[in-house]
Amino acid sequence: MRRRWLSLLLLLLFTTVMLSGCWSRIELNDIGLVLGLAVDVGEQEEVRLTLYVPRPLTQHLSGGGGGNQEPAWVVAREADNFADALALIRLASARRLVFHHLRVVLIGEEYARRHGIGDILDVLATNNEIRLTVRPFLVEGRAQEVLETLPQLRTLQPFNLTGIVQAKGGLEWRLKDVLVARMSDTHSVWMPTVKVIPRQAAKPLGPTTTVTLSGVALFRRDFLQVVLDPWAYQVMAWFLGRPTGFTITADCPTAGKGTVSARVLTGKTRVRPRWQDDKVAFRVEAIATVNVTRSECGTGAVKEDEVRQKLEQVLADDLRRRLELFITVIQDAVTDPVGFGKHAQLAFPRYYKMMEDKWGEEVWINTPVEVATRVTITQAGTVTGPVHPTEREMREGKAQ
Amino acid sequence: MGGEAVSIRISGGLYAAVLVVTEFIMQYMLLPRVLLENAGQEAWMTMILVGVHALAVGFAVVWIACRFPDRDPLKAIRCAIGPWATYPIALIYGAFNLLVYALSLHDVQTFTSVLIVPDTPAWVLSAIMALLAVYIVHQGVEPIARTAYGVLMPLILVLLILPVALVPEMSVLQVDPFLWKGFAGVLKGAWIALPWSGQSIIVLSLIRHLSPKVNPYKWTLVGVAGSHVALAAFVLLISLSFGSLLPSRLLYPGYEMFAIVALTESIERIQAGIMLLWLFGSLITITVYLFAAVEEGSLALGVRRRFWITVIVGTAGVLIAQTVGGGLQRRSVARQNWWMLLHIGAIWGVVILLGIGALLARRRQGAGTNA
Repeated sequence: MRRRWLSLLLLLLFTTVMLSGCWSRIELNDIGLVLGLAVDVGEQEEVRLTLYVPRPLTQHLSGGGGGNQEPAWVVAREADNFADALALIRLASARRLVFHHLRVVLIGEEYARRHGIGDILDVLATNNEIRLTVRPFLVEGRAQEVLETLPQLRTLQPFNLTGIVQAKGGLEWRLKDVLVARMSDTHSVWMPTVKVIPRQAAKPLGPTTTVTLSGVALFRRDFLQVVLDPWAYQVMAWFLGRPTGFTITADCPTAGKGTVSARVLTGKTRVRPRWQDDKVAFRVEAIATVNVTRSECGTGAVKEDEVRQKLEQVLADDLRRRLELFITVIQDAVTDPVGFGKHAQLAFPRYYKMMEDKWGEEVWINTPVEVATRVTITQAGTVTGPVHPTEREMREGKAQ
Repeated sequence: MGGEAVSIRISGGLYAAVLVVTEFIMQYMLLPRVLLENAGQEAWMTMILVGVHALAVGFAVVWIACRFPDRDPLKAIRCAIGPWATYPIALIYGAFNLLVYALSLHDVQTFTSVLIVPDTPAWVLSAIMALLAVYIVHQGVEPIARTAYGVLMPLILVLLILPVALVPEMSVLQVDPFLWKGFAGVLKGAWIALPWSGQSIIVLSLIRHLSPKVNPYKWTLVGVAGSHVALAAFVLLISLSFGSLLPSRLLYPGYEMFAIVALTESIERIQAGIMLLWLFGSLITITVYLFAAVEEGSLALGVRRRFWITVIVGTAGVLIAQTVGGGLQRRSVARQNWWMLLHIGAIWGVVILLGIGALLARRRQGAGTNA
C-alpha cells in the first residue's frame, strides 16, 4: 500500500513538472503576433514580404492614449523566395514572430500576374501556425501599401480589412475556400480585391489615403487573369448564395427620369444545367425580395400593383444584365469561379468525365448560359412608397 | 493487475466504451486523409466496409471465448492441452499489440510535436504517455474502462453538436457525384484501412473481464459498430466541409475540421478543447494496447508479478516509437502491401490459432460449458 502511494506521488510530481510547460516555454513578452502578411514583387529581388506586427502598448501609453507611437511594426524584406524573406525579417525582430493570429494575406497585383499565387498558397497551407480561416485579398497596386495605410474605424489594418468584408454583407471567403477551389478541377480561384485610395485629411498631419474593397480578382491556374470592379463583388455574392444587404440600382421605367435603388432582403441563385444540342447549357435563375430605399422615378406609391410591377421589372432587368455581363467576363477570361463545371459534373457525370480535361479551357468558354431573374418588392422602408411626388403633383400629372 | 485481473468485471457499457475509444481515436486522426485520397467522397463507405471486418474479427473472438467458462479461451487451452499450446498465440498477439502500442505512441508524439508543442522533443511526450499508461495498466482494467467512458461521453456530445457548427462550411459545390472515383477506390481504401479495423482483436483481452451477466455479442456490436459508424460520420463531415481533394492532402484533416469551426468571431479555436479530449482518448488507446500485450504475455509465461514486465514492455514501446522516423515515413510504410499483409496475417493468425486451440481443448475436455 505504501509503495503504491509512493509511486502515485512520484508520478504526480513527474507529471506536474512536465505539464508546467517549462520545457519549451515562450513568454508572452517574447512573442510578436503577425496579423497581416503582404507579398509583392521586389525592387531588387523576386519577392518582397511585408509583415504587420502590432506593437504592444506600454503601461504608460495604454493609459495615456497611445502617444505618437505607430500602432504596428510594418516590416518588409526582399529575397529570392518567401522563406528567405521571412528569415531576413526574423533577423530584425526582437520578438519571436508567430502566425497563429494571422488575419489577412495580401497579394500584390503584379506578383499575382508575374509569379502566380501557387507558391504563396503552398506556404500558407504548409505552415502549421496559419489557420485556414485567414482571409486572402488581392491588392490593386502594391500590397505593402495597404498594411502601411492607417485604418479609419479600427485600430489595426488587418482588423479593418476583415471588418470591411464582414460589414459589407458577410461574404466569407477564406484561405480554406481558396484552397478548395484551387484543388478542384471544376472551380477556379477568385479573391476580393482592395486598393489604397486618396482621402481628404481632416487635420494637416492626418492620413491622406485609405483602403477600400474594390472588386474581384479572377485567377486561371494560379495566375491573375482579370480584376473586376465592385459590381462583380455583388454578383459573386449572388452566386455564393449570400446577396442579402447588397443594393440593386436600376434606371427608372421611364427613360431619363433617374434611378431607383433597392436593398436585397433575401436572394437566391440557382444554376440549372440542361442538355441542349448535344452539349451542356445552363440556366441561371436569380430571385430576390427587396426593400426600395430610394426612387427618382416619380411613380407614386409602391403599394400600387401596377407601380410595383414596373419597378420590379426594371430591378430584375438590371440584375439580369449584371449576371449576364459577369458570366460573359468569366468565360472570356477562361475562369469559372462560381463552379459551373461542378454543376455540369453533378448533373451529367458521364459526360463530364469524358470532357474533364477540356472543360475549363475549351468547353466552358463556349457554353450557352441563359439568365432569368425575378425581383419582388416587399417593402419600401417605413412608408408605402417614396414620399414624392405629392398627391397634388400626381393629380396634375407630373408623376408618371 | 496481478492475480486480481480476472476477478474484476466491467459492465457492458464500460466494455463498449473501451472498444469505441480504441477503435476511434487514432483512426480519426490518421485514417480520413488516406481514405479520402483513395475513395474520394465515398470514404464513409470504406469506413463501413472496414467496420464489417472489425466486427468479423471481434465476433470470431467472442464466439470462441464463449465456448469456455469465464470466457477465457487461452486459460482453457492452457489447462486442457498445456501451456506450450498458448505460446504461439500469446507471442503473435503480444508482439502485435506491442507494435500497435509503439506505433500509437509514435502517432501521438508526431501529432503533438507538429501541432501543439513543436519545441518539445517528441520522445518526452512519448515517455510521459508511456509512464501514465504503465501506471494505469498496473491499476488494472477497471480504471482503463472508466477513463474510456469519461472520454466517450463528451465525444458523443461533440458528434451531436459538430454537424450544426459545420453547416456554414458545407456546400453542394464541394460534393462530387456518387462514386466519382469508382468502387475500386472504395475497396483500395478499405484494403489500406484493414490493419486498423483488425485492432478489434483486443476483445480477446477484454472479454474475460466482461460481466458474465451481459451479452458479449451485443456490447461488442455496440462498441465496434458504434466506433465505425462514428468514424464514417466524421469522414463524411470532412468531405462535405472541405471537398474530397483538399483533405486528402492535409496531414490531419480531422484536426482542421475542428479548427475551421467559428460559431462567432469570439467562439472559435474550439479545437484546443477537443484535442485535449483526443489526447485523453489516445492515452486510453495506448494503455489498452499495452494492457493487451502485457496481460496475454504474462498469462502465457506464467508471470504473476507484472509490474516490471509492464515497465519493460512500456519502455520497449517508447524506444520502438523513436525508430519509426517522422510522420511521412510512418505513412509511407503504412501504405505498403507487406505491411497490410503482416497486420492482417497476425490478426487472423491469432484468430485461427485460437480457434484450433479451442477446438482441441474442447475435444480434450468433452462438451464444455458455454458462457
